[in-house]
Amino acid sequence: MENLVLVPVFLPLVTAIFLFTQRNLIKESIVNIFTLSSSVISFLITSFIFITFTIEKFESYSVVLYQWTESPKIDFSFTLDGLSALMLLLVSGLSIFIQQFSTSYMSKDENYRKYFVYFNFFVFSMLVLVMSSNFLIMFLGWELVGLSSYLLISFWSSKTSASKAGNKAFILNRIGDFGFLVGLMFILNTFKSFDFQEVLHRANEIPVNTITVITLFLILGAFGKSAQFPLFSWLPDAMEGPTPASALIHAATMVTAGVFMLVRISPLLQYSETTSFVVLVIGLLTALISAFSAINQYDIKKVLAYSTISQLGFMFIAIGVGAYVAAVFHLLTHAFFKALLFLGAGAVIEALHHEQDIRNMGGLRKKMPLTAGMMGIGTLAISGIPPLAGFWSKDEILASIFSKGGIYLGFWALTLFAAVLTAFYMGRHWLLIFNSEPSKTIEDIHDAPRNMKVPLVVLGIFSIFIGFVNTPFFHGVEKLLHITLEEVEITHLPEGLTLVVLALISIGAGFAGLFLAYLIFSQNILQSKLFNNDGFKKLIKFIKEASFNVLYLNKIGNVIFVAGAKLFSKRVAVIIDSILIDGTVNLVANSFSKSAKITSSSQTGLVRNYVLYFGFFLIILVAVFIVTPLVGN
Amino acid sequence: MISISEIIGFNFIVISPTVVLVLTALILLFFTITIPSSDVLKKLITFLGILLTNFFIFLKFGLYLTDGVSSYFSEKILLDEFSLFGNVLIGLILLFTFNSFWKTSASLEGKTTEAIILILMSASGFLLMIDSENFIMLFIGLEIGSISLYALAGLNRGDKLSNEASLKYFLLGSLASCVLIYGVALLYVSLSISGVYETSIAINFIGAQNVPLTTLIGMIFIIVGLLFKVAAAPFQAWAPDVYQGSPTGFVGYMATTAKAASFIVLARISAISIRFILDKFELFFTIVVLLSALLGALFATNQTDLKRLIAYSGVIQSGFILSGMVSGVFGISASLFYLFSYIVQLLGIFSIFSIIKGQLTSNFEIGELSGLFLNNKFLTISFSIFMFGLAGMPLTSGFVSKFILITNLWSYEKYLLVVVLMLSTVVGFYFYLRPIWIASIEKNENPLSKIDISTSDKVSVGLLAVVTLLLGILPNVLINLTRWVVENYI
Repeated sequence: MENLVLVPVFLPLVTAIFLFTQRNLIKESIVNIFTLSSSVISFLITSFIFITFTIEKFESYSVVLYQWTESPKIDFSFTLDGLSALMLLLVSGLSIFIQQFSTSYMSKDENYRKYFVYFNFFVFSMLVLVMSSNFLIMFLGWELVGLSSYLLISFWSSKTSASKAGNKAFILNRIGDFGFLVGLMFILNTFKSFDFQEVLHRANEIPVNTITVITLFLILGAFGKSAQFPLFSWLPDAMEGPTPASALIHAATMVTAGVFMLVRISPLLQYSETTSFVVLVIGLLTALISAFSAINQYDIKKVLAYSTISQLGFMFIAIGVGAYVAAVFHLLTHAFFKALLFLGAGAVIEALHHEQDIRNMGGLRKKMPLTAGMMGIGTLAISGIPPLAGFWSKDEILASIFSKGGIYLGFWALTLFAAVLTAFYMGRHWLLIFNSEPSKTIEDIHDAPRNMKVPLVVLGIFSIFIGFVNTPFFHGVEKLLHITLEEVEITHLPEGLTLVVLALISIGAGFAGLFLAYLIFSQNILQSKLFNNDGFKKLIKFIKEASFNVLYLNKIGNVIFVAGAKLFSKRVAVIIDSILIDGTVNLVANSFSKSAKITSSSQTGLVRNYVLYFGFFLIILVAVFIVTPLVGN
Repeated sequence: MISISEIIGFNFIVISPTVVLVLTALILLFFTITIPSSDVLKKLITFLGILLTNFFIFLKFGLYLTDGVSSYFSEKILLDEFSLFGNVLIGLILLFTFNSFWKTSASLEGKTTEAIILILMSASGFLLMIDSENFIMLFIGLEIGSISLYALAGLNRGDKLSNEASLKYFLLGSLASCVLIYGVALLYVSLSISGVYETSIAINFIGAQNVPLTTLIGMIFIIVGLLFKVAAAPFQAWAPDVYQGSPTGFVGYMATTAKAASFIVLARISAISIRFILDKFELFFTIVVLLSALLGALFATNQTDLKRLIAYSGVIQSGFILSGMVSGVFGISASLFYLFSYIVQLLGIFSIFSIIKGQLTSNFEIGELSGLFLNNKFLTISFSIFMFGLAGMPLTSGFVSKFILITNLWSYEKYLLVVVLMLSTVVGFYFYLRPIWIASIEKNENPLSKIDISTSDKVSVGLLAVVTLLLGILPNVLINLTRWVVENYI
């Protein structure tokens, strides 16, 4: 019975392998049958597991596949608890609808089968990550999702930009993974175990400084995977991948792995104020920078990418103030409305024959009423308009920050500002696509086909109602996570009137942002006489440029992390090669004998260089050896 | 009456693998010179010889069970856990490289047996080296092994690069041998002994603080000579040139045997005088490991030739294995695990290279892999498994070996080494995945056509790939085995 958990985890892998081996499977409809039925089966089983899990009062259990090593004891095992059950349900549920959407979006692609292989492989990896019962299996899933995301980003690898984006994602993620690995080593050395149960229950026995060091390394991994400042520039580039894949991987699930991991280690995290503070500051910084960057992007997907980064920033803020339930709740609602927005964007791109520049869109409301409506729901949800999903979760985060008091009030104000920006850029996004006058007429635009409509409608319904699972009146998510976060002190919401006022303020923020967007992009208020002076125009231009160039951070980040690393390795190699081996040694050798010069062809010259090099290092090593004992004694 | 053979501790079984290899070589020589015979017969003889060698290696386990750790031939030949582990490694290498070296030799017209004899002789030399208790014996074994390798590198006489590689390998290798034998001489001058155990006992007796400088320098020279053979930085310069120039079908054998034998000997030296090594040689090994990890990663990033890339990756891997030598007994066992899994990956990679590129060729640009995946699924997948293994991806043996090695280093509080080794791993992902990327994902207009793979090749490459995966999923067996090897020294 408990082993049933393995089915939804491994079924996608089996499907992936099956599709991978069937190279003669050219018919799209047959591929659809296999991949969709496997995801429906795994979703049904997941629902069954979830229901029994609810009936049994969220009592967690583990399934051990086998023992990986004896000492330190590491098992290959999976755990079902509130957190992993929620993620399991979320991933396998979303995967059905996004796959259904993909069948239409990817249709006629020459690598149709390969896309579903990668897709199923991703679902498997993600489930390994969320179901893991120890840090090592989590790391395994962590690497596998990285790999499958890398494959999907560069799916259209004939485009150089796609390959480049894949490489960038890979390199930036390696920096994060490096931190994660060091953190793991620290954990093993401190706790002599990798098991979540054992490590997290013994957190209070460990000195705070050690915990701070461990968690600081671990959050580096989270920053990489969840695209937080300064490792965030890969996510906008990752939009080179197929849009439905972006919806699942780069909006709903994989990028939230960092948030998931931090909630998982929250029993450790709560003891370290330093780390929590770092998470808060970085989250806030990311939320602000990326929300600001989103206001003047022209690529329909890049706006959403920056918006994702910004929303992830909100989740990190929630974790930073100790509101772990709010973070998970926002993860849940965000998964639905962001997947909806991405799929809507996919439908628009498909209808406009792969046009992605929103300046060339406009007025699509009449031609694509359903998509416009659903995208509208997504926009309202992310802006935090009640009673849609985003309101409940965002309000909970804002209220949690407020309830910490003190300097956190300043953070609250800044987060609120980010929320205004969110509503503003999402309003702009919707208005430019669906409302304003078309600047370029594109022929034969039709609304999405049926396979795209169904997922849009389903996700739209969820985006409206999913927020009700955790309101101030009904704490669904909190109950679900009760056992997982048993030993964690959670920041609670303020009571009574304060909560109402805070809710009103955050509603006000949402409306303010949307209204501003309406004034600027629908009523063209900037063109009116009121703002017709040079100083103001310059300011607007500056803001636009800075936003479009992401405050020039991308360039700096590129230079430091990607180009710098490459250049460095090249430089050093060349320098060592030319100076050390060829230069110095040639000089010495040549001055020693003239005859060598005459007879030296390049080959013997090289060997002589190597010999000198050999002798040189031998002498150095001996010298070091002779010198050090004196120092030591 | 005590016979002479009893006094000198004569025992046939302990040297039997060496003897069988030499006899096989002699029989082959006899057939070549006297009766003209078909290649099939020669192949059969060679294969039987290798099988018999493996059988006698198995018999040595029996001898170990009755005698325990013991020495023979007036303390020249040693039978201990290290020698058993090393013997098994060499035996496996011979079995798994048989395919590619036989084909390579067969394509050398008229020189087929010459190549086979060289290989068998060199294997016998390395076996002797692994079994040696005495440093002079070690030197003899090393020379028998290496000289055949120098010749092997240059067997493709029509190829300029091959000739160059052979000459380079010979010149630099003999320099390393000089340094090694000079070290043995220094050791003998200062302590009047030349045995591995004797040295350790003598050092314990006079106390680590009072060891004469000549002994220390002598030991450095011996270790440097061995480090040259495993291509650890800063003595790595020969490896890329030799790997690139030598006939592809031989490189797998050449790279693995020398490394296996030298590492086993290094591990034994470290294990026997572990305190002394930890005390005096820590800095020395630390420098070598740091240089290997950093230089290897830096150079590997810019390689366009696959064989050179693997050579530089070997420098990094050597750094990893050496780092275990300075982190106690469990570090040594982790090193042995690493050695085993690395050799399995290396064998697989070079078998695949020789299948794709042909046996006798020298250069192998990365670009030549492009589009491999379209028509050669088996080769690409197994190639990816080996490369993932080298990179240290989870679920492959590479991850486990790096993992246990680094955790052990960590518990010895060698944080600098840990950080540098991990950094080189992180960089490593870049250059290990690039060939996979080119082979499988990157678009290519005219991909490689389907390559015919013989069944024996398929079996051996498949087996190696399965071992790489199995060691990643179920590493316990080998971990326990390597712990057993060092059990006596805990």
